[in-house]
This record gives sequence, structure tokens and C-alpha cells, in this order.
Amino acid sequence: MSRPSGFLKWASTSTVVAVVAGALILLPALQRPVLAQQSWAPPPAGPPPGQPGYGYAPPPVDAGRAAAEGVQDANADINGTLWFFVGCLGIIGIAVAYFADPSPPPARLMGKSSEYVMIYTTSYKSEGKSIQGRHAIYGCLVGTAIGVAIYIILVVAILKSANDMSTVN
Amino acid sequence: MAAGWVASCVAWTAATSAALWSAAPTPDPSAALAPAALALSADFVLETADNQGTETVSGALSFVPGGDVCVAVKRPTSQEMHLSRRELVILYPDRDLAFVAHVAPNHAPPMLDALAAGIADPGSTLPSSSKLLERRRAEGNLFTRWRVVDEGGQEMGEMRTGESRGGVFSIDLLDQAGHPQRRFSFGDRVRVGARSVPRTVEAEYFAPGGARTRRERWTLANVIRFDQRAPSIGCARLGPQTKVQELPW
Repeated sequence: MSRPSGFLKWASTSTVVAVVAGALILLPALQRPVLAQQSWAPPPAGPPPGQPGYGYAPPPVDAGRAAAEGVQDANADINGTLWFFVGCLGIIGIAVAYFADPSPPPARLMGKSSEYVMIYTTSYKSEGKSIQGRHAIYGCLVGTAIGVAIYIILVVAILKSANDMSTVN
Repeated sequence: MAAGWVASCVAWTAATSAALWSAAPTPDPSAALAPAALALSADFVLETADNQGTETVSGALSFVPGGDVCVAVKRPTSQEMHLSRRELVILYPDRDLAFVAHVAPNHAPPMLDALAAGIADPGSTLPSSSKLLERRRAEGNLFTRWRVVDEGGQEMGEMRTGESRGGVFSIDLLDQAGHPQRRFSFGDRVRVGARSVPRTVEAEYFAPGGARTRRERWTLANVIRFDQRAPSIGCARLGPQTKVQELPW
């Protein structure tokens, strides 16, 4: 009986290692790609005071604010729970989460400058996809863990009953 | 002529339904605007309040026959928006710069959902498998509760509406746990053709846990039937020199 029990140990250890390794690889990639692109470097300096700038100068836009509002609105709008359950479908659920493109409501772009619209939309979509993907992966991991647990319980039960039968024989 | 009219009505209904139901994973009304009288023009003021503060946007808008919406924003930034089923165009006339967003066939069309909610018949926005839970009269008003069930049999939440003789005055959308997702309140209405249009719309948006994140208040003035002979305003017509930039959507 040492062989099946050794195999079981090996299978469960491998599964746990695979799940944890997958999570370690995938989760950092999903952590707020928009914010990760921002740097702490000071913004580029404009023309010195008193001197005119050359060429067309668009109205100043707080890029950080547009990005932050895009992220914040995506967080508020996108239902993580829903995507968690979609992720329970497995790889298909994760694929759906990454192919479904969230878009901001047009009312939020009204009266905003072109720079704001571009930054806000990009960050909203990026964060939205990140939220969808992250929750779908959580759903997938939890679904997989539950599946593996059920599988292990079943295998143990079968092995135990087989063991009992061989002892009786 | 008749076929074109029917086609445009069907297109509009499909567009609004898809936009509103896919914009939020929970039930969202503002979907199907019935075929009649989808053409109107109005001046608008939109006040938005969230944790960043309050902003006011004003201008004029038109619901154009065929399902498109044209918006001419005058303040704070001059801007024209053209919303159609497959495209969103945002034009900055001062800079002759346009953003064009192409909407994928499987993607919800862009829509001003608060306004659409005020014009649509809420019952017609629901998936056909939804179930009526309650219909009661109180103080001359009709209150209705629907369990919203999508075509796959998945329960999405609940929609509650309040209706007076003048028209719908409130729509509440709740998730499965009973948390509010969206709340629309409508003020007094004005008749435009066969359609009743609220002069004020207040839309509240809630985070998944139920905390309110944003409030929009639309005020419409000079609401009139859209005049097809008059030049359309705010429809973001691109000139030969217009710089066109793709907007991810």
C-alpha cells in the first residue's frame, strides 16, 4: 500500500506547487498596470516664466488625476464578484475576462479635454481588464482548489475502502 | 419609408437595450426606447458629484431619428459627441481634433444611460425571462418589482419601479444581495411627440458593496421635437483637415 499513498502525496504536492507557482507568476502581472507605469519623476518643465512657449500649447491636464479617476471609476463600476464566478468556469472564464473590454460611460467624457479623455479611457480600460482578469483568476484558483480537494477526498475514500477490502480478504 | 422607420426603431431599441444591460452586470433599465418619437432636441445641464467634487457641464443634445445621439458641449470645454451603435466620435472643434472609437459588434453601444432610462419604458428593458414579483397601488401610484433573469436563467437582481399618472418617477436596480446598484429619479415630464420626457433626471451609481460613488443630475430645457430640416448640432462632423485619432474602446 505504500505505492498508492506515495503517489497521492506526490500528486497533491505537485498540485499545490503548480497552483501557488501559477498565482505567483500571474498575480503581479495583473496588479494595476496603469499605476505601475507612473513614475515619481517630476513632470517635464515648461518654458521659463515670462517667456512664451513655442507652438500650440494644449490646456494643462493633470494626467495623474485623469488616470486616478479612470482607475477609481473602473473599480466602482466593475463587479468583481461576477467575474469571480466567471473565473470558476476555468480557463474559458479567464479568457472571457481578458477579451471582454470594459468601456467608460460616455457621460464621464463630456466636457473633458482631449488629453483627459485619452488618459481616462486608457486607464479605465486597463484597470477594468485587470479587475476582471484578477477576479476571474481568483475564481479559477478557488474552483481548482475545490475540485482538487474533492478529487483527493474521493481518491482517499476509494483507497481506504480498497485497503479495508484487502484486509478483510 | 415605413421599412426604414421600422428598421431605425428596431436598431435604436436594440442599441439602448444592449448598452444599458451590458453597462452594468446588474439589471439596468434605460434600455429599450419604444419605437415612437425618438427624435428630440434640448438644452442640458449635467451636474456630477463624486468624491473628487462637483462638476457642471452644459450644452445641447439631440436624439436623432435612427438611434444616434448628438451632444454639443459648450462648457467647460467645447466638444461635440456623436454616439451611434458602432462608433463614438468626440470632436474638439477648436483644435479640429477628433477621437474615433469603434465599437466591436459584441460590445455594448455607447449610451447616455440616465437619459435613456428616463425615456424608456422600464418593463421593456428587461430580459424576456424576467419575472414579475409584485404590482401594487398606493396613493395613486403604481409600484412594481421584477426579478431580473437573463436568457440563460441566471438571476441578475431586482428592478423596482414607481409610476405615477405622469410617468415613471423612479427606477431602482438591486443586485442579488439586495444592495442598490443604480437609482434613477425623474422629475416632471414634458410631452414630445408620443413620448414623455423628464425635465430632470437624477442618477445615483453605487459600488458593488452598496456605497454611493457618483451622482449625476441632468436638467433639460427647451425640449422640442427634433427638426430634421434644421442643421443638426453637435453631430461631430469631421472636416478634411480634422486630425483623427483612434480612441481605444
